[in-house]
Amino acid sequence: MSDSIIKVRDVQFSYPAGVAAIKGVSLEIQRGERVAILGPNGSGKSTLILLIAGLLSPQNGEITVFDEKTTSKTFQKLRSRIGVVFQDPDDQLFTQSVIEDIEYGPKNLRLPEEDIKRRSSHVLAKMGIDHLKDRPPHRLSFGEKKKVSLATALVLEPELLMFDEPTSNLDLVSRRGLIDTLNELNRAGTTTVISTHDVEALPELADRVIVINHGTMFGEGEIHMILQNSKLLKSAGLESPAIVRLFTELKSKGLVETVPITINDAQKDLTKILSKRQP
Amino acid sequence: MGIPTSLRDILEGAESLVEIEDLSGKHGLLQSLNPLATLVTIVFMIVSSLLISSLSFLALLCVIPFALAALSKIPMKNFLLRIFWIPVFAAVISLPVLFLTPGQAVLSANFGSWAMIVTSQGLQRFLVFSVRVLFCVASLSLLILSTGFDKLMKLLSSLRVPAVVVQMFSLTYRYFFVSVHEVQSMLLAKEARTYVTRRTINYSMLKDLGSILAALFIRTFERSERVYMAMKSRGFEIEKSNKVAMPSLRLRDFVFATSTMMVFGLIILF
Repeated sequence: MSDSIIKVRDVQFSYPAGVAAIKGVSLEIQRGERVAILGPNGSGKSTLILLIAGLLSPQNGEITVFDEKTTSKTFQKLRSRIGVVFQDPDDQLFTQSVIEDIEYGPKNLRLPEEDIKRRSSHVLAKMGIDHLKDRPPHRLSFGEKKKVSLATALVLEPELLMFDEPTSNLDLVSRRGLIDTLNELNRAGTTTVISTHDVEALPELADRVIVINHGTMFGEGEIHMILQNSKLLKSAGLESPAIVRLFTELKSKGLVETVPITINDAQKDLTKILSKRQP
Repeated sequence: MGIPTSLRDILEGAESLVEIEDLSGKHGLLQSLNPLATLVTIVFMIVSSLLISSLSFLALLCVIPFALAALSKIPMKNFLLRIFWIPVFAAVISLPVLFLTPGQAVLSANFGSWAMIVTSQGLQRFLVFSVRVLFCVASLSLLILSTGFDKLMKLLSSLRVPAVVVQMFSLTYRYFFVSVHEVQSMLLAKEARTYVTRRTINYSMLKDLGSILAALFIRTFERSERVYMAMKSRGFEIEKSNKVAMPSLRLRDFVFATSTMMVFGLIILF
C-alpha cells in the first residue's frame, strides 16, 4: 500500500451552468502532510476540496482517497475518515444547537451512545467551546461558529481533515487559536489539507503548497520555494507575503543574504545582522 | 425613512418574534413538564375549541392559554405581540361572512341603490371564527414558546414523524435567521448607496426590492446546495433518522394533562 492518501489524476469539473472550475488537475498528497491549496478567489480551490472529499464527482479524471476511488458507492465508506470544514460556518452548522451539530456525524455513523458522548465532550473541551454547547448556532459570533465547525469535523476523528479557508474573516486571536489547533492535529497524525488565499498565514499552516488559478495548477512545492517565487505567485494572481517582499528588496540591495518567510525567521536574521554590526 | 428602513424594521421584528430559545429556558409550569404532556394537552385544547360553537364559552376558554402563559413566566407583552396579528388577519379575511350570512339584520348601510346588511348570524359566525383563531394561535404559540424548537423537533422525531418532515422544519427554522440577516445586509448596502429618501413607494423602489428578492433566492438556492454537501459529508441520508428518546412521563405530567382535558371535556359536555 502506498503512503499517498490522495491521488488526483487529470481531473476536470464544470458546474451545471457550464463554468469550468477545474481543468485537468493532478496532484498527490502523502499521509501526515500539511498541504495548502493556494489560489485567489474563484480559482477553483474550494471545488477541488469538494471533489477530493467525494462531495462532487469529476466529469473526467480520477480521484483516489485511501486507495479507494471516490464514487457514490465508496463515499459512505470513506466519509468517516475524511473531515470537511466549509468556508462559511453557516453552511456547516445546520441544527438547532451546538451539541446537536457536534453529535450529528457520530450519530449518523451509528456509533454507540457512550462513544458519541465521549467524543463530543472531548472535542468540546479540546476546542474550549464547552460553554457554547446548548447555544443555537445563529447566536454565536463568527469566530465561535468557525471553532464549532471545526469541532463538528474533529468529532469524527478523521485521518484526513480538509478545511476551506480556515483563517478567513477571523480576528487575530481566533486565527491564532485555529492555527494552533490545526497544527496540533497534524502533529497527532492527521493529514491536513487547507485551501486559502492568505499568504501571510500560510507558513504557519502548511509545509507544501499547491498553487492553482482558473482551475489549473500553476505549480507546487515546498513552502519556502513557493512563497519566495514572486513570479509564480504573480502569475497566479497572488502576492508574496510582506516579509518576503521586504527581504527580497533588502537582498537586492545586498543588505541581507537570505529571504525568510516568517516573522520569527526574519527576526533571527535581523538579530544576527545587527549584532555583527555592533562594535 | 424609506421603504428599506421599514422593511429592515419588519425583519428585525420578525426575527425577534421567531426567536424562542430564551422563553423555553424559563422555570415555569409548562417548561417543567414533559413536552409530550404539553403537546397532547394543547392538541386536545385545540380540537375541543373546534367542537365549541358558543361565543361566550370560546371567549372564556381564551383565558386558559393566557393563564398558562403567565404561569409559564412568558412575558405577556411578548406573548401578545407574537399572536395578535394572526387573529387580526383572520378577522380581515372573514369580514365577508358578516354580509353574506343570511339572517336577522342588525346593521345596514345604503350606498345608492346598493345596501350592505350585517346580520346577527353573520356577526356571530365572524366573532366565533375570530375568537377560535385567537384561541388556537395562542395555544400553539404557548406550546412552541414553552417547549422550545429544539425539544419540539426531538418530540416529533420520538413520535415517529417522518425524518424528512422534521428536517424540513428544523432547517427552515435554522436558516430563517441566516436569510433575514442576508436581506438586512442587502437592504443596508442598498441604503448606503441611496441618496434620495422617498416616503412613497415608487417603481424604482419596487424594482430594487425585486432585485433583492431575486438575489436572496439565488443565494438561498446556492446555500442549500452547500448545506446539503455539509450534511452529506457527515453522513446524512434522506431515509435515515436518528432515534430520539424522550424523558419518561412523571406524575405531574399526568395531573396537568388529565385536569386540563377534564376541564375542556366538561365545557364541551355542558
